[in-house]
Amino acid sequence: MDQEFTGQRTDLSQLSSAVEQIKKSLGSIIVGQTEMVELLIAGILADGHILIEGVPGIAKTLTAKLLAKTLSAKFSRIQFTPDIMPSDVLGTSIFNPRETSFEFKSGPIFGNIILVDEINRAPAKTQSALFEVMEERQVTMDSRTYKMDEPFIVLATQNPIEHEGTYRLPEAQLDRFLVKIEVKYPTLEEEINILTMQHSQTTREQLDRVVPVITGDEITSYRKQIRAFHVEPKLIEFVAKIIHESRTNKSLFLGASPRASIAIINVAKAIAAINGRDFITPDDIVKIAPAVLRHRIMLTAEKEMEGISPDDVVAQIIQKIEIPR
Amino acid sequence: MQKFILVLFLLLALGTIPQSFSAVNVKKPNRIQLDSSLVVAKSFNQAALDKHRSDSDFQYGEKYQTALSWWDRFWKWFWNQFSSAVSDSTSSNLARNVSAIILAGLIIFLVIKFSGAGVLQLFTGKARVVPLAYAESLDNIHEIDFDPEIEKATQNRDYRLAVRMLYLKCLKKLSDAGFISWQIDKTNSAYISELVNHDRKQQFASLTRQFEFIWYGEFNIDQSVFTAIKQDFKDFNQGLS
Repeated sequence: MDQEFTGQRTDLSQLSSAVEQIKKSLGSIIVGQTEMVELLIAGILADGHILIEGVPGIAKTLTAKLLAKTLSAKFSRIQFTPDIMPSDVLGTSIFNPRETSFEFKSGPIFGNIILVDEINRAPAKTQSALFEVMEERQVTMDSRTYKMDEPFIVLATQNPIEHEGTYRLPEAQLDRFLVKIEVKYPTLEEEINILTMQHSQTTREQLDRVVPVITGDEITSYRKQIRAFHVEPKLIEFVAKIIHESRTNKSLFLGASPRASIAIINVAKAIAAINGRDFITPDDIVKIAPAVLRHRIMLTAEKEMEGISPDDVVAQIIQKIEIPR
Repeated sequence: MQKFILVLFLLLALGTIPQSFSAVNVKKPNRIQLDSSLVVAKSFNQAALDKHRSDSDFQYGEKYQTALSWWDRFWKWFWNQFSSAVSDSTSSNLARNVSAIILAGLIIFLVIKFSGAGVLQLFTGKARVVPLAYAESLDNIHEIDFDPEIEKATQNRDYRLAVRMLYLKCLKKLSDAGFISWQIDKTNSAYISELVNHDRKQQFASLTRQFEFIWYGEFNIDQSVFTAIKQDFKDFNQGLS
């Protein structure tokens, strides 16, 4: 029944193969969580930073480490603690007595894949230090600007805000994360699979078996390819309507920014690429909208007290807007 | 130098001693002073007190009646009716209970109605799915006369638009046959998942894929491909009746 015209305009064979290999590597250790894995890959292909939220013990850090290991790029890890300082992240200038001059010692942020573990345990002062590097991919220190190498991806994990010892991240920083992935508890079957797989070997042993399947240059190349994907004008209008509605919705204290609308298009393109298409559909937009918007919008106090979640509001917003066809 | 400082310190220290002795010597015993002035008893003006007592502004402890608003009068009447209905000695217990239940049900119904919430929403907490009027849709599939539109697009060699019309016609047929529930907020995959029959689902998924590639992906098709696609849609639609 399928006609021949659906043959590819864009050669996505290499990209599809790389995606399959990443999925296979993650799937060999992470049980279930297919949506999370897909969003992680989409986030990397869409040139964005990823925030993973979930209760302790559901493999957030393991997933991030595993993903970093599948990518052949410079990896560094920063454990955020309540007393961490901006210089611990970015680096600092140290006086060199032999040269009688200050020398910049770069911090762990200088890498390709940066795992920021428990990001919401650091105070706002240190969070603010990430603003420039996350958005502009550069660090300015002592009147000098240091550019980050491509690709530059921040993978951050956090516990829900209700948990002990956590701070709410500043809105400006949350907006810099392309997607926020909420990791749920595994199902009963998944739990059984986890136990079956994990009881005989340690996580370190499992991690050691993972080998890089994609290089940093390949990621940069795929990103360029995805950026050129086709987007039907009516779908751009559809995204704009969703974002505009978020700004006038009575359940929301703070709506989504224009950065959010760009993010929806970019992540939808990445999802389309994962599914072997070089164009986006309304399904892609509807699918990824909660992950892109849930951390960028703020509910009114009344709605928070009623127990409404940002995902509920996003669903209500989309329900109001006609799917372009 | 050290000797000079020591001598200066001693001289200063000696100078403070006589002062401390004199401070002890000047202390005098306390003396109580008697107040011998005449005490005059004060009295209140009884007339002024009576005037204030009779003033309503100062009647703090007493309730005073004011005219009831129509809203208060309504509720007073309502509760009087309710209490008389419940406590009427002539009516049976069953009648009293039934009237109380009906009244309570009426109040709950009015609360739900005015709050705009659905009954299920109260228990599940989920948002109610409001059936949207077709008039709100940009392309009301139930009002479009599809065949002339498809013919017109085909004559203009606008095969992309023609495929779009074929797909919308297909959605209308599925909706009319009751296989899907047409809603403006539903995506194509939502309609695919609504189909129960496996073969029909497969066929519709294939048609949807063709439509998406041509419409959203802007893939160019020629007349021969369009003719084949048109036949696919025709076969599918015939299978619905």
